[in-house]
Amino acid sequence: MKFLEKLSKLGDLIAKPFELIIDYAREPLRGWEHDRSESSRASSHAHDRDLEQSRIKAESDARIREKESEANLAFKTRKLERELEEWVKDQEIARFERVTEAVMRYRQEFTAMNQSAIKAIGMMQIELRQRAHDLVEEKTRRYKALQEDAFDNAVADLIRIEQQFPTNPVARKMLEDAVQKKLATIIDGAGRFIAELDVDLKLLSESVTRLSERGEEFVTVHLQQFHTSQLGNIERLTVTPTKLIDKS
Amino acid sequence: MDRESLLTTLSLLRQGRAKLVSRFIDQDEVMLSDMFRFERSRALMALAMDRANVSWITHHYELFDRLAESVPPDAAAVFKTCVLNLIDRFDHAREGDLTAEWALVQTMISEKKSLLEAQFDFSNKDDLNYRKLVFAQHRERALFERIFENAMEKKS
Repeated sequence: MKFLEKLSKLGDLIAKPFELIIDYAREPLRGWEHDRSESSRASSHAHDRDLEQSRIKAESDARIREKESEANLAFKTRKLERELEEWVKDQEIARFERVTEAVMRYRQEFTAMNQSAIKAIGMMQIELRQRAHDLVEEKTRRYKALQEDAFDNAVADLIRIEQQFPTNPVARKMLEDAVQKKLATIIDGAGRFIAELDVDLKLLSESVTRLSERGEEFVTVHLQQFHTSQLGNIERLTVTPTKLIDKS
Repeated sequence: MDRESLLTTLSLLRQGRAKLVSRFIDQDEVMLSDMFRFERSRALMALAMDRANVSWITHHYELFDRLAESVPPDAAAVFKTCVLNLIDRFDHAREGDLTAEWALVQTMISEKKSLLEAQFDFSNKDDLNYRKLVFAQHRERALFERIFENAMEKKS
């Protein structure tokens, strides 16, 4: 046996009592450890139970909250629906009011425009017809003056013939015929032109009706434009509730 | 109406009145010629005065169209009301937008102008007829005097 081996055995001999002492010393520690392990096991079990309970409670709470939330949502939805319905009704009323207002304004415009236009056109027509009538009257007077002058002239000629040719019936007849022809030219010519004036006066009067036709045409076009623009305004101003609901 | 609108309105109206005066100062040939030509005819003088009035009102439309872009809306409304007042018996007292009336009067004035011209044309055509008849009167008198003198010569 070598020295080293002997030394090692000696070491073992010395170490053994110490190990015993250490073991002895470790014993309570083991007990405590055991206790702790036991306690820990029990504690873990309780914790798991607690956790399970908490989970159940949480799940239950969540379900309750979910139910509450669902109920709340349903309530809010109903409330929103009610509000939307109210709003839609308000919109419909507002729309109706706007349409009514526009129609009333349209009627007022229509009446005012029509009345003033008809009145003005009517007066212009009366004036123009009066002007044409005055003109024809004046021109007729001029022709009549020419006829009267021709007649007076013929009478003067006949007197002259009577004075100059009292005993010459042949010459008198020839001259009287000439006077008659001269007179007829003027009387007939003037009569023809007066008749022409009457025809022209009728034509002028008819053309004056063009004024009211143009006026009516204008009023119709204007009112159509007015109507279209008013309808356009209504469309622009009013949100169509049904479209809004469809979108939502 | 603010100061700018008031000044624009007054300026427009002043230009309208200036036209009324300038027609005499510048001796508007059509108008003055009518005044002299028709001084013996009441009906034609009335037509000529109507024509001068229509022409003056039309001038306001031309004036407004030329300056429309620079005229403030309230000045335009006052100017239009004043011009519409020039049209006898046009009931334009109602308030609001005068665009329609303004355009309607323009249409009617233009139509009236052409109807007045039609009456002048009618008058001119008749003047020609009248002159033909006066010529016939002179011709017939001259021819009769020839026949009468011939008979007098034969008599002596």
